[in-house]
Amino acid sequence: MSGQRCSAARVVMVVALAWLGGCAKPGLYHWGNYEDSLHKLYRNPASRASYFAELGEIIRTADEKGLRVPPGLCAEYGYLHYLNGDIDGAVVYWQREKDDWPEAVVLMDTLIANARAQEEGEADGEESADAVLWTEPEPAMSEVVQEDSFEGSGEIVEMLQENPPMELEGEPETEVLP
Amino acid sequence: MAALVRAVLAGVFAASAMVGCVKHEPFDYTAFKEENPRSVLVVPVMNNSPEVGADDYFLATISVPIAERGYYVFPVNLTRALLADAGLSDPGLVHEADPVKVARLFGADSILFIKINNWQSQYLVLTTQVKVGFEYLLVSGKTGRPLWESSRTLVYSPDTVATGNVIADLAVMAIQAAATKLAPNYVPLARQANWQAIAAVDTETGQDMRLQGLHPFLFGPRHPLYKTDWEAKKSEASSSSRPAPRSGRSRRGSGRGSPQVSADEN
Repeated sequence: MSGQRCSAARVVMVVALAWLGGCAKPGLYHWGNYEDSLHKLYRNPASRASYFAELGEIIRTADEKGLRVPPGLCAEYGYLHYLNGDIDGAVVYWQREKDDWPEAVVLMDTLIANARAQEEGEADGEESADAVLWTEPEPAMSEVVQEDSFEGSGEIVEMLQENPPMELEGEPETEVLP
Repeated sequence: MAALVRAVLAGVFAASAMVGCVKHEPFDYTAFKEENPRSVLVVPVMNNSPEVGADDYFLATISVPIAERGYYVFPVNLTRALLADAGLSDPGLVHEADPVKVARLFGADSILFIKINNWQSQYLVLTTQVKVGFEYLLVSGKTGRPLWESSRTLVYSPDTVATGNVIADLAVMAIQAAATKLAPNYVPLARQANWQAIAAVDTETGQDMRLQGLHPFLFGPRHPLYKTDWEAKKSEASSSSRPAPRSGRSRRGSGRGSPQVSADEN
């Protein structure tokens, strides 16, 4: 008897929660399935193509319906173009991020400058002091393997692989905090 | 009928108990207002819990509440890749780096650090309950001083859908409990935690949780309510004898995984 009542209470509680959860929150931006597709990417790095497609869809839908594209989304979409080897496409979206969000100007200028420099094969010695982090932009597939830390390609990763773990700890101290 | 009312009350009570009890201590927003950040750089989440991938759940769901609160938020995935490219692939290294230097590289006004310190799954008969302890710390990108923090424990049970039929619902719940054990999806949990911390909004009920003592981000420059919460908070803060949030605490001194912040609640 008391067991039944307990079950009934549980069910009523669930109903109450479902009813309370009915109200949706209005938002400033159109997010689409951003969160779920990003998390899927983390779960399975091979799903980058569908993440890429989702971000493109969000931007297209927002533009068509006059909704606002969330901050950072065009920057991220540009980065995926970059990973795909499409530097012109990357610059288009990084430029758009910069135009839409003055807050992003420093980072977008750095990325655009480095991508252009890389494209021209003049990555060394051309960047401003702000570009120190990314004097050697990562090659196309580093995103895919970065979760497993040191299996990626690229100058820095190769450097890390050659060094024993102890020296690895000190790496950012000399690299990032000169 | 009386039993039904009792049951409803019990249900509502249980629901509120799920989010834990909170001390109603006013939070001092002085530094937050002085700094008045426009942008937030969320660096990779530090996972001190045994739950593999807990950091990814939190990172994937943090951007929406911050942006919807009125801030520019740097894309978390790009941020993580750029930091990794610079040799900072381990969140522990990022959390111990000089925040001013990191912020300058991105042109960020502030940096948000998130740590997951505790994660306990309890497999009950009909459901799975997860208890997660985490802390958020927002520091100035200009000076590195703390602007805001929140440290909480959330108890979460996966959603259930009720049909009104007790037997059917119990069956559904049993299946869900089993499914949760097999392939847990904690995106809703992390979303709930992030929304509560950043916006003091309960994602299940839409309820404003400031009434329960939560102290969210102030509304940011991109939000229509920007600065509308400054006055109220000011008077609240002035009645508090507490100094600026953890102003004396050095971020750098807070080594990895140290229990530096006593929980606001529990």
